[in-house]
Amino acid sequence: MATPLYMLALLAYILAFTMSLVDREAYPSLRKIVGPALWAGYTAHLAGIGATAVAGGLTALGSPAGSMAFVSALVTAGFLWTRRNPRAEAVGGFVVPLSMVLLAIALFLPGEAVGETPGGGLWFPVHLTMMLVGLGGFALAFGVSLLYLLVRWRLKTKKLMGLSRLPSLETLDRLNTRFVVLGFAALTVGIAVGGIWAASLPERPAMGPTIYGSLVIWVWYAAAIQVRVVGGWRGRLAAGFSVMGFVGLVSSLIGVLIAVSGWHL
Amino acid sequence: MAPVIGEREVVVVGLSHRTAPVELREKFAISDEEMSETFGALVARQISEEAVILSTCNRVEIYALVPAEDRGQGILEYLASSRGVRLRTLKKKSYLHEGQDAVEHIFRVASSLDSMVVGEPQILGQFKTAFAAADRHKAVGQVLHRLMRRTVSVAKRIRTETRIGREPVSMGRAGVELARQVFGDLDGRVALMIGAGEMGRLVATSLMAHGVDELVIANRTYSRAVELAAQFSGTAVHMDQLQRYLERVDIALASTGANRYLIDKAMLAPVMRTRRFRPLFCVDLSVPRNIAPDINALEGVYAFNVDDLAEVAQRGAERRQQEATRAEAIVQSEAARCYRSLGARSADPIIAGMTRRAEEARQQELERSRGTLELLDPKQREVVEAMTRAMFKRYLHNAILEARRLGEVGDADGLEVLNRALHRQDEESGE
Repeated sequence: MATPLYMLALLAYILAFTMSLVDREAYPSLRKIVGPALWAGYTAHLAGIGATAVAGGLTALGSPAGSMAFVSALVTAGFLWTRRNPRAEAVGGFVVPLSMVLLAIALFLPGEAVGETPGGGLWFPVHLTMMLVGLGGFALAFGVSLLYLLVRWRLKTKKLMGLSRLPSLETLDRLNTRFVVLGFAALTVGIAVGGIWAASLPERPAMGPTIYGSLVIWVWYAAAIQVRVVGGWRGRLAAGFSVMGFVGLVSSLIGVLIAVSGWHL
Repeated sequence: MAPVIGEREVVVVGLSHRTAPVELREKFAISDEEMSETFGALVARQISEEAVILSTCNRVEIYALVPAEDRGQGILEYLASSRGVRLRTLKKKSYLHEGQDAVEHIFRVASSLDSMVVGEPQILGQFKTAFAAADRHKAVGQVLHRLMRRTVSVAKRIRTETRIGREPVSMGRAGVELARQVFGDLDGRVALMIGAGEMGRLVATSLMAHGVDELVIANRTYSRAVELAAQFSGTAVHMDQLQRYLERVDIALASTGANRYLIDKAMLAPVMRTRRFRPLFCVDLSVPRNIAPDINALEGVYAFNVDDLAEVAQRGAERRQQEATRAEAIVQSEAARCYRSLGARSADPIIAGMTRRAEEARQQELERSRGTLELLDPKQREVVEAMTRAMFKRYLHNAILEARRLGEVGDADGLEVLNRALHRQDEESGE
């Protein structure tokens, strides 16, 4: 049941993205489709996640496909929140394709949870949700940072035509910080809960590439926040941290998926 | 047959920057003190039934509802005689629009499509003030009231649906737009103006008007800086304090007569490190330039010169022209619709007459049957009352629709025939 809903969501996102490329002044009615299409896609997306959880329980959301779909939904939710500011609409040019790619990948990944989830109670769902929220926050920071670098490049090289339709550097920098802090906080809680959960198990799981990867990512974003808050550095440096951090994160995730066909050994 | 509003027509009589030089325009300018006298004369001499006067530095226009056969000639004659200008001269330098053309012109003016700087926002405010003044002088009746309200809503629609007022067309606005691209909101920002050049003051004024909180002024002659600081409610500083202030401000404007760089990379690099690369927006409005162009390579620095601002303003003007074409299409379709509706409303008195006569006839018939009706209980009488009212309403429905249609196409003769026919019918049935 989830797959057709994800496909429907993907089609709606593609429609919204295509319509957002249309000239606003020349075809105002086509541009009006963007919002409803996004919301329709998002509704189908959430329904797909709901169907996954109903059919396979919360562990199904921990499957590679379930996780990807969840992160993609978080990214879309972040964008829907951001686009309340009309000038931040352009953020969607980077974020919506990212959400589309994540959802498309989810369609090809295994939908079953890898192995039995040991233990019980709330540890696993909290650990999983927080890790995925963290991933979503970093994905949004990545999209916003790419747009920051584009606007900065256009200002520096004086390619000024149509620039006023894009968000200001200050707005993008602020959004980047918010999404990084959100992602980092969720990742911290996720790692802590995962650690407590692992410690409570009769047989402790071995340290695998996912755990090492998570810790590296945590250190990376901790450094990004440190540089920003303590060092006061912002702008291109902060955007660079977000872009490189997310590229590294996605590469390591793909690596883990290929190496171990699941999240944990 | 040209559509008319009953026996009257909407006209625009005026002269503007497009048709008359300032020497002539100033002769026709109507001050607030002269409004009362002018409205009085227009009504007393039966030149117009309703009138609105728009008098700005770029135009003097009278929007009026005049007898259809006069076609605004009375207004022209009055203006020429009251200002001591020959009628022939005035006719040559003015314009007169009637009917739908007049409505289109009014929409165009209020939407700033006829302004010297297309898309400037002041005209709509001036338009509303003119309308309010006419209303105060009781010079506005039903027709112009409806037309003026529609005009304001069309002007707002154009501003919302097109980008006609959004693109910068002056150097000052171009500077503001670029600064906003870096900072977003300019509220609470601090600007440093180096020198007292004309262009620098222009951009500084614009920045202050758009939220910049504090202006620091540095000038080679300190007394001149103090003078300017008083003018802008800013702070005057000595030129040798430049580097210190660059660490603090968000925006730096240079507009001096110096023929060397006052800000260069060697000077700014340590400043940016101290600022922890907080953005610094620099605009060099001097020729020869006072800010070294290579500072743009520094992290956090966004440097522009007079050519960049001119390019933004030029592109803005081109864009506004493109938007004006779209706005023009809106004006035409709205004017056609508005004029039709004004015509339809001209049938209102006739429709009111029909309804009144029908009600009188109904009351007469009820009165005639009063004896019988008194035998009924109150509930039954209510039913009879409602039934007779519904019958008359139904009987008049098609006649009202026809009257509105005739009004819309401006068929005053047709309206009169319909009115007479119904009136005669009523009289016959009354007899």
